[in-house]
Amino acid sequence: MSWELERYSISSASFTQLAILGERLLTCTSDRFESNAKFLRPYCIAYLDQTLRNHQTGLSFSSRNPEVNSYLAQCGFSFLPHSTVSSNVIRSGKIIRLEHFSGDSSKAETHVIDWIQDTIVPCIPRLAADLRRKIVKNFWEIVNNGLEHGEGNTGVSCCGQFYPRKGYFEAAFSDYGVGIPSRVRAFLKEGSIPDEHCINWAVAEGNSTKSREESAGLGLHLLRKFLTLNRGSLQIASGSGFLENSADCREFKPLQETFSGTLVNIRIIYDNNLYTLQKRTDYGNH
Amino acid sequence: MATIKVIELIGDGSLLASDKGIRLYNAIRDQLKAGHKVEVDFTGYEYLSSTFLNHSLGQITIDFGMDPKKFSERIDVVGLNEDDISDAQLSVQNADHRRRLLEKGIDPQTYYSTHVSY
Repeated sequence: MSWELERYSISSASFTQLAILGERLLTCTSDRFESNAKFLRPYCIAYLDQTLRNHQTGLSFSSRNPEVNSYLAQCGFSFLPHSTVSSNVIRSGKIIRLEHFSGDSSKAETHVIDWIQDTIVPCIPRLAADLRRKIVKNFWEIVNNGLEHGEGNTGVSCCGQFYPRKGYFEAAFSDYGVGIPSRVRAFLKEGSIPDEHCINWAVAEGNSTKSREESAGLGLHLLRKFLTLNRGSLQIASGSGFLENSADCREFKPLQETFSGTLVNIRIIYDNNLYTLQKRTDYGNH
Repeated sequence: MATIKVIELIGDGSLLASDKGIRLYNAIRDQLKAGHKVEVDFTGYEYLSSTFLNHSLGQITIDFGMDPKKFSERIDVVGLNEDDISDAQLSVQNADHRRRLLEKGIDPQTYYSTHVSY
């Protein structure tokens, strides 16, 4: 039995396996890596893109399963060996192709905003204009956190997919920076906080509203509230910490393997509701 | 009173990144130093982040030794929607808190690190 999962789901076990896969890629001395994966999700592809960008000598990645290779190709995954690229298999649903942001966050702002408006917003249920602006801003903050605080050289990789039959949309954001736990521990000057507690602290309301210099939070409070109402979910993996936030649970736990940087995955249910911003922190749907 | 039209100054309705906030900070600073009361007009903006507010209005609050009352005496902020007004006020309040810590010789980061639970 291979160490690798064949199908990656939205679970801490799958995130752990992805971290293990990333570590194996980084230490791989060959120029080609072949995976057993039969099903990858956007968060896997965003993380693989970042991992391979950080590989010292250059490494190609493919799967023994041609459908996965076709999916990777459709996602714009640039680390496929040329021999495996096939466009014969058409995957259902709408793919949000890999997008890579790098460099100064201010210079990237227009690019990021345009991408969010053009590719992410159409996959989200109807939002009133004021709420839409704030949700767009929250997505920008996810990317900006990776660019400004990630301190990595390989920017932020984003990927997503709309699953029409399942009625939801997933978007993932990966950077290879120092990660949330390091930033939070430095901010709190408390070196012993477990990674998962650091992530939980970073998403808590109020922990990102202080002056910029003092903040180590993520500022995703409104997006989390929206996801709760929408019955979507948010997963964050960084270091050996994992947080899952949904309407039914807010769970943070340690992973068995360490993630490089930060990986954020968001699932939004595509329903027929119109979401509105009622007042400062309360949101309603009609 | 001097009026700063933010969109004309920044050249964009997207007010998110920190260095855009610094550009607004510089414009307000110059007018305040010249002894003018300033109207900061946000009319026409699309997106506004706390990062932008902290680097503009927040930093002005700190550098000119203002509290929220003094801030409103010298700076009129117009053209923001209701929810963003709250964010702007929060930015000024947080900056005022930081300024008062600094005046007491307390490093804000040390303060927050010992007063924030996890």
